[in-house]
Amino acid sequence: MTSYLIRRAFQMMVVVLLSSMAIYILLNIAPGGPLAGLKLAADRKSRVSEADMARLESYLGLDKPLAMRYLVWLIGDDWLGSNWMYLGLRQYEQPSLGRDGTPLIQVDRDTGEKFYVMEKFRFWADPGVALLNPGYVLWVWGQETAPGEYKAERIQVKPPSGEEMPADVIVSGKILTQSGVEIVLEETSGKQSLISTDEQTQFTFPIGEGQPRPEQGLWAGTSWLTGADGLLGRYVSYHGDSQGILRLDFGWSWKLSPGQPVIELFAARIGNTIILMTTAIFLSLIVGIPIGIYSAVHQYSKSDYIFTTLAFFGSAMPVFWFGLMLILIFSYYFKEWGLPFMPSGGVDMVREAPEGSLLAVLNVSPGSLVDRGVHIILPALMLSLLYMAGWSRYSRASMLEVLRQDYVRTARAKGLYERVVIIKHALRNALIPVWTVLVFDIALIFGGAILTETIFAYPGMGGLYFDALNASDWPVVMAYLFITAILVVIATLVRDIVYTVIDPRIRFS
Amino acid sequence: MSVINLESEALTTVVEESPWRIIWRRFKKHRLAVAGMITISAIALACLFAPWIAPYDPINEMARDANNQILKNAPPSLSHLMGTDNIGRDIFSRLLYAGRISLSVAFIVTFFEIIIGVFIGAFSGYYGGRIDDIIQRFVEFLITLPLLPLLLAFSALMRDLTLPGLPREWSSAVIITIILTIFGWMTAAILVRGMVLSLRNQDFTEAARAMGLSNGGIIMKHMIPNSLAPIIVTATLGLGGVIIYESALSFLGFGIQPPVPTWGNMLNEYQSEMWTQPAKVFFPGLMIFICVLAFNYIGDGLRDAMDPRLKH
Repeated sequence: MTSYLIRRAFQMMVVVLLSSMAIYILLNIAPGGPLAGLKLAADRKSRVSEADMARLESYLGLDKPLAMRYLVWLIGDDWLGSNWMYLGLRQYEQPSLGRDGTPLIQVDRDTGEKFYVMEKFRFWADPGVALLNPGYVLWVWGQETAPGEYKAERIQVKPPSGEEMPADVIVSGKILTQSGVEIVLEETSGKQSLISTDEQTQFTFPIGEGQPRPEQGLWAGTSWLTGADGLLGRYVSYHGDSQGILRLDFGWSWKLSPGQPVIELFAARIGNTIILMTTAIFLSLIVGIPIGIYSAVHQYSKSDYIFTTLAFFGSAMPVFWFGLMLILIFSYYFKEWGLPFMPSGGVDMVREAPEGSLLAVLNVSPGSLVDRGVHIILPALMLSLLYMAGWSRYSRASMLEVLRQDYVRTARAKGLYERVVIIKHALRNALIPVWTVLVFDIALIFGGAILTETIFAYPGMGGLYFDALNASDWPVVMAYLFITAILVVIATLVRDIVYTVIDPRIRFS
Repeated sequence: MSVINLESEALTTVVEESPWRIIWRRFKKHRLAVAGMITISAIALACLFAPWIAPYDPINEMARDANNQILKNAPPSLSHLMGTDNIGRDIFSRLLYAGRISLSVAFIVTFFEIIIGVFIGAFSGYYGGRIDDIIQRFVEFLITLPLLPLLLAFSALMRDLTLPGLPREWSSAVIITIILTIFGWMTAAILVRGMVLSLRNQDFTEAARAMGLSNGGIIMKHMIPNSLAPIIVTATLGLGGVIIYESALSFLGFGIQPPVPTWGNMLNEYQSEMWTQPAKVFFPGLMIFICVLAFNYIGDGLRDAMDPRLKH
């Protein structure tokens, strides 16, 4: 089992990588794109100039080659252009530093308790030497190995102004070039010296510019890849501060909320979506499964037909049409007829409840639980009607199958009550296939219902994805799809494991 | 007459009822399924014979009133059963013509989805091991691809493609059919694989193998028939989805373009006016609703009828 899980985990990574790659390419070859609207301007006055366009493209990174952009999206660009990287692979936590170099302290509003703002790192890269841009002033401690050549033990970068130059400094000057572990320094006298560094060399960065380094980790030479002569050498200028999605840096939104980190957009909506989806799935389960069981037990009876129709009702309608019809009836016509009408969208009241609406009748205070509850009724009703068909069909089908099995006949032959036979013997086994379908909803609970959330203007993940896709807000789209892809892959693994638990005859090895 | 003759006669009379007749006999028990079948047949026939049944031309003919003015947005009346649209075309006639494309696309896509899904799923589940790994990872890969950008990209690539020998609207219908099939067979494959995984280790499979039936034979004769039940459920639930996707495609500027009507693009076209003329958007939605409901009933009946464990 362990080796199976390891193999699966490896395959899962490959699938997620491939699919994110495919999605990235897909977004780029699909017509449109984030700047398409600007190019459409008809007259000279409103048209964006070529130079501005180029600037915008380079700001969004669109001028880079596609493969390079994907790589940067995946693993960030803070490592580009460095010859040495400091890798800390374990997860660790440390206080995050403010601009002045002192740790940030947060005060709990209620208790008055003070605590450090902690930063979490899982994968950590410090470009080290390469961060020393040409033009930086260095003070170097070390031994002179040959005339003009030094082996550095300690390097201080740009000490804060007003501080005295240390007495034991041997070389000071500006960096001319750096290649690999070697830095060429031009001293104030104009003399050039070669400084070589290694893993033992200590760097002291000025406050606010140096990055704290984790305890565990190692230096890795990357000159063959990102050094001046390396494979990616010509992308040195792409060096930036994004960390890439693998290090949980989801980037920032381009258009929906420019400059806001994607993770914040998600954080604001994920709760709404989880509430909506769990409500809808729960409702559809507790209605759909009993319907399925009942129709199976009373096959071909009138009540079977009635319940079957009820179960199919929601799923037989086009989602868009169904949603609009619900709004039309419960918000629009109810208002005309003078009945307590429902809010047509949103998650809670922004303004005062309109006269005669259900919210006004219930005298709900804005933002309260009842307020949210009323707003969730229509979308949850629609979604649960939608999902109900599936549940009731699957449970009816498997119940019919189970009812014909020998052990059910045995149970009946023992003289048990029909109710006991059905609930105790048949039901448990009939529900097994339903669990395997349910597992797949893991991804659904995160992803939300794209159309439903859009129709009801419900601020959830699905609606966000739809808006981001329409606005070509690629970082948001990519982050959403990346997370969903991971969840889908995990759901398949869980499903396969559930199979083996349910039916011990199934073996993966 | 010898005993042997008698016995063989008895045997032939037992075998006489063909499996299809058994299925039909069982199917008839589900009255809603029969009703669904009649409804679908009626709608399909009406659409097929639309040129004879439809009272007006769906694309070119504008309704006119007594003063020979074009009758726009007319409410339903005797001469226009479902009213007219914003340029005066008869909605009822348009619905009938639309059904030809919508229904055939839905039928064909679902059919091929199921065929592909069943074979790949059964193959993957039965052989297991590396084959199963590769196929399942490929399926996961396809599932993680988002449909909307995918369709956008395809629409850009294939917008101007026409198939030789077909009128334009039908050739785009064929292309849509292909795209929807390519990205739609995974559900069926997953379900069948799940069924086959548990079937392949059961005693009857061992028995079939011991009797010398080849792997292909076991898949065809035992694996697939035994996993048909959930497949039919998914297929019927999916039929409506195909009609909806077709409408989404039309909306994106790909797919079958107005003025050629499909239920999907009619739904999209009239959606913007739903607050002022709800009747207009009501009818295309109703057609889809009735058809999908009928398909679901039929699927329910078929599932009951084709259950191989049912012996009478």
